[in-house]
Amino acid sequence: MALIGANGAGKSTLLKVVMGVVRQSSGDVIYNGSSLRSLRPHSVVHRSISYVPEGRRLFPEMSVKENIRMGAPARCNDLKERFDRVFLLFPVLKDRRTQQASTLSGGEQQMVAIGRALMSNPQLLLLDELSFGLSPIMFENVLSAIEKIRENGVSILMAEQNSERALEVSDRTYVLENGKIMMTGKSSDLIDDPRIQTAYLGVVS
Amino acid sequence: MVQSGGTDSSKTRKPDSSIKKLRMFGLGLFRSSHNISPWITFLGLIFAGLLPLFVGAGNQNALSQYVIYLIWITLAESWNLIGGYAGLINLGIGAFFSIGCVISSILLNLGVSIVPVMLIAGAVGAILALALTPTFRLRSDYFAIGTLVVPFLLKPLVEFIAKKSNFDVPIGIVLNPTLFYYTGLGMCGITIFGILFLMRSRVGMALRGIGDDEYASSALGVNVLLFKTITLVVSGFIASVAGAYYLGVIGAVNTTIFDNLSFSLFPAFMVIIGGIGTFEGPILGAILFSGVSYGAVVYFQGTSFEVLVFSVMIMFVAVVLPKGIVPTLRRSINKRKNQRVTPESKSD
Amino acid sequence: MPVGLTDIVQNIVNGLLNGGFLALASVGLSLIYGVQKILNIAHGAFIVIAAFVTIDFSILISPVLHLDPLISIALDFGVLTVFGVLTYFGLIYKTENKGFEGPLLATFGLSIFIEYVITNGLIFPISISPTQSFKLVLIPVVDPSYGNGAIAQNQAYSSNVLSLGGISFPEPQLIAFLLAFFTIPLLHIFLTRTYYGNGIRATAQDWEAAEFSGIDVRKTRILSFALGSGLAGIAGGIYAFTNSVFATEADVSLLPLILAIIILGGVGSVIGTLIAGLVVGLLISGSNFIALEVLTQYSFPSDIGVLLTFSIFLIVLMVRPSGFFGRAVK
Repeated sequence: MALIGANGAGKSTLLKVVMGVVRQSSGDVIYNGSSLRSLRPHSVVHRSISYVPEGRRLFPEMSVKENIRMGAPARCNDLKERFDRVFLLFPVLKDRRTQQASTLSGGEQQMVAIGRALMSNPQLLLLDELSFGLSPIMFENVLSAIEKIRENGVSILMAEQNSERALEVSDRTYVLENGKIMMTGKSSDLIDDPRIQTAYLGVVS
Repeated sequence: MVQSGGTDSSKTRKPDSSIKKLRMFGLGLFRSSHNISPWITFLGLIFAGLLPLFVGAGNQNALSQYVIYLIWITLAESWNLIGGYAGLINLGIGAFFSIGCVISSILLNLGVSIVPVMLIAGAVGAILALALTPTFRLRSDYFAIGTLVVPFLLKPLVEFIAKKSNFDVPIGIVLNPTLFYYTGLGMCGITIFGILFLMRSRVGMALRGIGDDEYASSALGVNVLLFKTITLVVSGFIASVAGAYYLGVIGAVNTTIFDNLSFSLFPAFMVIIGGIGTFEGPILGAILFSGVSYGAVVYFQGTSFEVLVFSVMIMFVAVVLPKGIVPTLRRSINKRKNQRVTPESKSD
Repeated sequence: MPVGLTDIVQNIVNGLLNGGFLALASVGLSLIYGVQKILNIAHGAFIVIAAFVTIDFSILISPVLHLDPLISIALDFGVLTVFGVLTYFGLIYKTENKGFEGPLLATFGLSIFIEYVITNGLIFPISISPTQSFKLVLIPVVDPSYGNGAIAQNQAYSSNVLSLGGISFPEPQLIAFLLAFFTIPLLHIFLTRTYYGNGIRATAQDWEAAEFSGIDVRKTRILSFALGSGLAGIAGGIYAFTNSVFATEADVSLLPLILAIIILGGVGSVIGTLIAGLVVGLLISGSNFIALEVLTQYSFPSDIGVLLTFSIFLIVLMVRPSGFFGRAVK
């Protein structure tokens, strides 16, 4: 699933509300039949929702491995399997696991952030501005990794500025404007919608 | 905040009766307008000026206990200038105060009278402030830590230069209590209104901008460093003057005054209790803070129980009123006013 | 007075022994400051509380129960950990999100409160006279006439001194040094090798990201505050054996030197704090030695070491605010 919209449309805010960073003034977040309202972020993570924040937000002074480790719960019996899964997805990280996170390139940092989020075995993965500061090639690499994660049965909700790619890779898309859902539907339908084309895809009709 | 939005609204709208009543009792001080509090302060100063007449000639020494309030108000004002308006948490104001005290002792020994002594001490404080300007490079919490250490750095330095640690006032110098009181009152009044006029001038506008958002101000072409320097120099000048005056109260000073963090921290806490960056905050905070502590000294005579009262008060204020009295009162009054005026405008 | 090689080595040894205590006194506050960005002004008072726990334990309880006074250092850790948690919930929890000044004000009030309690002998029976100082001296176990215990030095009992090639190692100071040398690396291992330790580091670096990773930031903050206070407890226990403790010291007077060491070592860097503590210890004893015994023709102030330390501290703060071992601060 993808959320698209202009700057300030409320994409990131929506994800933050789900995570419990921002408190909503009204309404509720229902996940798997239970409310996430008034939960603090770490409890949301324990309900198998993970979040990759905008700008990655790694722990700059910790190594790649330590960063990824922090995503897993305190007591974790299958820590090794979880690590293996992340390293299988991003083989680059295995070679760099002792390197300090702040010395990595943008794309590698994004991989660490996704890896960290996967360590809690989420069923739903929230991705905020995946394309932030990435070269188009690197963005494609990361997207293909996301495809693999989805094939493993993890639901994905991404908030994305890059509307075109978001529409192409997602099943369903919500278009946000001023905090309200303007349009919704199958991504393949929306991508042909003339309003979307002029407003978000830059197609001149 | 401190804009005069409150007056406009009261002109266009009929103020409701409760606020009118509040204003009648002088509590209009806490409204968002600045127009009344300076007048009340002015009246307070005039009253303080008449005080020696009430106290009576036979009991002139009673004046010395009021002098303490004047010193604390002056110090709190000095701290509010740098910590409140410029937003730099300076925990080293005791350095200026102490050096003023020492300079005063040396000069009084030479036979200079108290007012020139205070001015010279202020100049020394201003020079010290100039020497400390490199600390502006620091992040705000490091600025606080860096300035906290300054008095401890000065202590051995002063001992080294003066080659002694005890500074006595010779017995020959006796200050007339009434005259001394008026000197303090003058110092306090000039400080309060000097800072008020400074804040209404261009310097004050620039300072408020810096306190709100330093980067935005510098992007707009405000010379941030210059204005911060002015503030620290003025603040250091005032604190040193207050220190020089303080010597008249304690009579003799030794260098352990530099170890006494109270002179660094109390002014800050008075301002925080009253309300950072407000006109009324430092005055109210200083009177309340010293009033409670000296009141407790009198009430629990012979014990040190007042220390307990005092410490509990500080913790209580920190936990319950973290924003200070004046902003908290203002907010609650504004909230009530807004609720009355716009009950339907909540639909955002 | 001619200065021999033995004097110089002795001086270095003294500096290092004192530096061990300074490092231990600073590392707890460095941890708290790194994680919570709050300055616990009462940290020095915490150390003095622990010192009086040790003094009271050693003089009142230890001879009765025949326990080694050094056990009280473990007690200090426990007592101060509990005290830290209470402080956190009473004062810090409500104020920590409201800027730098709130916790500062609250802990300053606390330090005055502690000073009052100690100087009036409300909790600690042996702490009543503010002018009297206490310093514990370990009584050797082999001496049957005293039993196992400690004694306040103002009751006149000579200190145990190990001597090695003309250089003396006062026993309490040596124990303090070894404890510091043992505790601080242990803390470093805890912070880098365990989940909760890493959680503390992660919270210090980016607490929001720590929350997204599933770390309970609130618990982590309580943990770090409790641990930092507990370390002040160990430092306080050592303080009772190595320095003369005044009840009035429970104010903020220990704080400036601690702050200097924290900044020099780099906020949150445990090993950095250890090195900075040792360096400052050496600096103080070395400069005092040179000023007062080598260059006697100039009349230097007696605490030239402190002057030098604070000067270096301010210079380092200007030039490299992250300290020698800290991360670069933007």
